[in-house]
Amino acid sequence: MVVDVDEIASSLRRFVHTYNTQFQKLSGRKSQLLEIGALMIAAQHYERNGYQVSLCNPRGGQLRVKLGTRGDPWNFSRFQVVKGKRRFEIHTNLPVADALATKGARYVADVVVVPAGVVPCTKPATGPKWTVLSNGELVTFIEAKALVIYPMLIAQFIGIVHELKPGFLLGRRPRGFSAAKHFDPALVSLGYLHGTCWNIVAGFKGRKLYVRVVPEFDRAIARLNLDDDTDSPLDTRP
Amino acid sequence: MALPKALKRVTSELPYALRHEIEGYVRTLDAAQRDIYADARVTTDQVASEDFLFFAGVWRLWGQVDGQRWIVKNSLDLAAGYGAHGISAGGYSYARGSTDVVEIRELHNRYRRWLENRDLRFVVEVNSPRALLEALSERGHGG
Repeated sequence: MVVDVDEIASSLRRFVHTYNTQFQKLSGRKSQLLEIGALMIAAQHYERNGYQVSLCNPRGGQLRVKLGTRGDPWNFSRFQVVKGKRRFEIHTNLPVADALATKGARYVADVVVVPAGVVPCTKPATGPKWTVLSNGELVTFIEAKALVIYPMLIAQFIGIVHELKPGFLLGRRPRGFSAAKHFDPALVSLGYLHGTCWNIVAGFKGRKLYVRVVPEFDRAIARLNLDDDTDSPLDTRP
Repeated sequence: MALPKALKRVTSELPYALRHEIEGYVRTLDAAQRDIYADARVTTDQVASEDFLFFAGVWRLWGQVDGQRWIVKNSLDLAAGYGAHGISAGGYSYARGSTDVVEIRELHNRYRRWLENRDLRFVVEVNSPRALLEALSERGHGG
């Protein structure tokens, strides 16, 4: 059967016009849904690697996700992941000091893994207010984007890794990192991997850049929900 | 190659970010289409290049609608597994039956019905550009 492309284009144009408001909202929600998805997939990564995962601080039975730079971490939910003596927490949009502890420097990573207990669960009653995670307490992180992955986005991400965890760009993972089944710093995106990036990403392994790029992230989270045996999309093994 | 006019007529109605995503994706396929045709063992006599690129755009738009539905549904399912019956983020609240979740589901259902009513169900079923091209070829979509 031959398809009439012109007729279909006219019909689809009318469809998009009719549901213009819904498409506007679809476009507007992308970033926040991506950050929610990134948080969930981080939790699933640890669960699929043998950790017990629990949700801390749900408000009114809801997972409360910190999306921007504003707000204190004790007012938002976090995941705690535990395996034996290994205890970590997963936070969203946590301010982090850079690797050189540059005075005043604050980077806000979208999803952050830290050792359990280093971020207060409640507003401190006394002493200085908690404002930033020290760099040594940052285990790993995810940057989430609702963008097509172009070379410049990868370059930006590599720059963030360089400032926060440069060892991952020098062929070094911290001691115990792989044994704990952490994921390498990851860029996840709802967008596809542009053709100009294929060889760049393929070359990471040979260059010993320990970072992960996950395009079309919505598909990855769907696979995790549908199949208990699917490996975490954040998994990278040397 | 310029984007197919038929596709531009559709994307011109979309919000900027979505239009950029769809058109950028189609341009990437345009650059790679020689390999895609070779992999699928399809020629441009069987499926015209501009028709393939048009349907790549239709498929990518479906991917955006379908993906958002998946990410909400699956995030809610996963959150429920951790004892949370909803997710609040940036002033939005997602829970089964909430306004945003219903809207996402309804747009998904409407677009799927639109595709099915035009005998384009293959757009929903394919999982790669190559599979899309093969589906078009099997339908005898001559250039």
